[in-house]
Amino acid sequence: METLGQLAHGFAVALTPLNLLWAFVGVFLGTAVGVLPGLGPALTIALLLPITFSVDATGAFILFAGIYYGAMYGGSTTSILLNTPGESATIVTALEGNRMARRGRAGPALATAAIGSFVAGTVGTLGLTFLAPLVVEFALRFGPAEYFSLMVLAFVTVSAMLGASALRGLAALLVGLFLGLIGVDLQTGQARFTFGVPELLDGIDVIVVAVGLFAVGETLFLAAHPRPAEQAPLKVSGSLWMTRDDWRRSWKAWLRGSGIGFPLGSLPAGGAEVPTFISYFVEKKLSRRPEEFGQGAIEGVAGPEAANNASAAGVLVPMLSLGLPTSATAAIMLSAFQSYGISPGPLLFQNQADLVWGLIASLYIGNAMLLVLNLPLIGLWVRILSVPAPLLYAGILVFATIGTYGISQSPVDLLLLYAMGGMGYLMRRFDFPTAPVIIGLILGPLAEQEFRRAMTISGGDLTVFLSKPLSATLLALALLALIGPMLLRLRRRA
Amino acid sequence: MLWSRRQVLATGLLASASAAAPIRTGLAQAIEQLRIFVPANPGGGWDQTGRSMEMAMKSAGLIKSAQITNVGGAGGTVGLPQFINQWKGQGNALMVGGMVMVGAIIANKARNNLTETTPIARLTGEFQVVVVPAASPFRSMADLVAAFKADPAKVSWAGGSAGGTDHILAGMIAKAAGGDPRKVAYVAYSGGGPAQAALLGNQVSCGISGWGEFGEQVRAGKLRALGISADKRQPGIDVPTLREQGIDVELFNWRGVFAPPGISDAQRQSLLDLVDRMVKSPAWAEILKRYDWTDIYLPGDRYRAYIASETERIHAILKDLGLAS
Amino acid sequence: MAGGRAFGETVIGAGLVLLAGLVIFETAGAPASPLYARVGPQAFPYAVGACLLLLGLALVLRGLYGGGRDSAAEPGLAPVRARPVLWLLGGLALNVALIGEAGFILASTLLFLCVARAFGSERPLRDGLAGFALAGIAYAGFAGLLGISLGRGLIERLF
Repeated sequence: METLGQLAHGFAVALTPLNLLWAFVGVFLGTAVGVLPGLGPALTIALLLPITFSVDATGAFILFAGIYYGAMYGGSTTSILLNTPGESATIVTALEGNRMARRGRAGPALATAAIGSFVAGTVGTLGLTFLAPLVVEFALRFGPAEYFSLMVLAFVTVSAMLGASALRGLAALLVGLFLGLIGVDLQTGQARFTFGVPELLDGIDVIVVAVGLFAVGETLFLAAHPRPAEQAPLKVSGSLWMTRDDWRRSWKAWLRGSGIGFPLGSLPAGGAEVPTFISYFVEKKLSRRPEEFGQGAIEGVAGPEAANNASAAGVLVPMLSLGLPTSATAAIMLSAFQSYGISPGPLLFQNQADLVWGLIASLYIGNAMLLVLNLPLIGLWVRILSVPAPLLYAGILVFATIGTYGISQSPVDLLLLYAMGGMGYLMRRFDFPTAPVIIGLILGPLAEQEFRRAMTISGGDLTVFLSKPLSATLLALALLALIGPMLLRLRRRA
Repeated sequence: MLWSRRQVLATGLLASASAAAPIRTGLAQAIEQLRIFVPANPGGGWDQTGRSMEMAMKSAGLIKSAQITNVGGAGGTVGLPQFINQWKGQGNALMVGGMVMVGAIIANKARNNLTETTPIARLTGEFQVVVVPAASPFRSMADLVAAFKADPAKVSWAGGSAGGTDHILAGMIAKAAGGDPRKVAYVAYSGGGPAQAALLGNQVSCGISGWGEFGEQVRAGKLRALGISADKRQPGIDVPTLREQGIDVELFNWRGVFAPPGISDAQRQSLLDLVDRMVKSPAWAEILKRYDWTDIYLPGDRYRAYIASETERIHAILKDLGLAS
Repeated sequence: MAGGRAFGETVIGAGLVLLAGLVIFETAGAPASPLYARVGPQAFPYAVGACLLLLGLALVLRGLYGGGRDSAAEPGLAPVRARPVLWLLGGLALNVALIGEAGFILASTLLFLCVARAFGSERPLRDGLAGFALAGIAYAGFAGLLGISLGRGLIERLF
């Protein structure tokens, strides 16, 4: 009950007109930067840090919280409408979301994303409010061995995205794994596959690959193979709003996504994308209509969207309870604490109760504000799709360029983006799935680094993956996820 | 919206710099518009330094405006050639850089190096700290070093990327203690957060990072600091230096500014003046306090000599680690 | 579509075999890291190279003999039309070439024009204005809101 009292106090802090204004500015800005591929919440908050010199701490954190949650909303909007993920955590959303949009169901896709984000954001924030100490204890038990096993589990989820031919899907996965190897090896400082190009030393940005493969590749494909009947392949037909059936199929996915996203988000090195992969896999396996996946299944939007927002809340758990900056955004927020002379550390909850509870309250407020803002905007957003094809695709390409070039200002990144576009065209033309490339690129480096860390610590003893109970459990789950569906099918047949 | 950030900034600056009345004295070669080159993406330490300089100079009335250009990547070695070749001869430009860049130039075998620029001044620094989990049996550097020498494979060291500041310090400690730097079982993490989590979860034997990264965990008793890499004890920090414990190692992760090559002596002098005035302004003092940066101001020719000796020192240790030839 | 029924699969499979060769060759050529590491920086590249090789070969074989289909999902795909593709590629090349020197706004506007042309637009003035507006807004947003300078090109200098 003490928690409730403090939370109420937090709301009292956050609910002043000025702070509501900050929340509004935050969610607006957040949505805007979420929309642009490459420009994310971490960078935006970093660039806005100077305001800590003149705005009071509560106001600044309410602004930052708004940006943080808003970016996830903005990222999913462009994933669904334009097949151009603005954030890496919304890449999976594009898989089913954009298919729905192409079948004229952009409205319901955006609605289930917005409501799912709200539900998950709320569940996640509730978890942050009441479960933080428990969750953090669990999270600290993850060492390199456990993370590696988690990555193995995440790799299994690729089986849900392989498409018609497993061979082609695995080929795409391996190309992604190769792209993930490019750059300086973290453990030894050795450059791999950089061919003397200094821009490649830091590795290849996931967003550049995703936007190149999805958006640029698609644009090239449509330009090369025009179909008169489909000059405007994205057209809104039917209702903007979710049908009864959509609701029925969405609500469980929202809750499952939240349940997957929050604990995984709170892991210090889990990554924001892993929960979205797992959620997609789970939804496909549990769906009564798995054949709809790849054609625009609403669960495939609802689940991952919930998972990414819940994991955003999860990231704040180690940050607020231990002072651990486990994502770029959290690191920047911690340095904002610092510039208020507040020491971000394990004693934050005790020493800065006002601020922390004000921040948590503002997460609830920002989340609600995003829902209220976004639902009416759906009508406006889908109108983007009625823009004539020449302007729409020209806009998409310029848009992809802006985000990529804006941050790095390097023509090398642009070349990479366009090269990925060329690869995306070939893959689309010859019917290779592109999603596995992204999975390989994200999971490959994580798995490799964790494996080698585990080996360095254990002195090369491979049994650590089985002798640690948590790690063994995760591996068992991976095995179950791999062969479970097959066994079920066998039993049904028998 | 376009104006809000600037307005907010301006009011903040007025508040923080009310002590320093913006009076411009008649400098012979005053710089109206400064161009700041940051060889890193927005958000990191160098970017923070560049943007803080802009604020301090503006609020002290030293410049009218500054324009910041970010060219990030590979520890600054992507931006450096651009600064040397395309910014040559520009008397109103400064590049932010530091020790990380010295290491990156060597490890990445970059074509250009810092001697091709015109060094202006070293500004700030951060010392490193060696920590162990609270439950660790190690109580002092002597314990840690003894365990390392007994069996290097049993002592895992967490820190940032291989070849970076943390790894360099680990190598220096191993060498100073009479061990082999290449035998350090170094576990590289991509950031302070995951490395801290590994320490808090008792997954590794010890860890190295900047004091700013680990300081709070030490204060809260979750991690135990064994030694700091500063030259002397630091006020308010009850941790002995490495040198006090018989490990003859000192390391500052320093940051400084450089002018492009090919500028005139008068231009160099006015940049030196500009930076000198900034460093002595109250606004800069305020910034140092906020970010917990140690002032290790060192201008002009002494800075040039310092870079040369640092390059030599870091090259030697990277060679010991097998990361340079 | 010369050749067998799975022309694309064969070609892409061959491409993967080449990539595998490159991966293995590069990895073998890299100096061994002297650092203490139970599993060095070469282990994963070798594994990836080996798997690429196997999959590439499997794809080639299936493409030649397996009777796979390339574009099962898109029956009756229109053949490639050269003109729009050239416009599009030209726009991308112009963009990369110009964005540094001539500036972000000009390069983006030209890209917009070319892509719109590739999609059959006959109204260059409208497209130019729309592209200019989009690029200008982005430039102003980056500069004003976030304080990131996107470089000073021909048009940017006018402001």
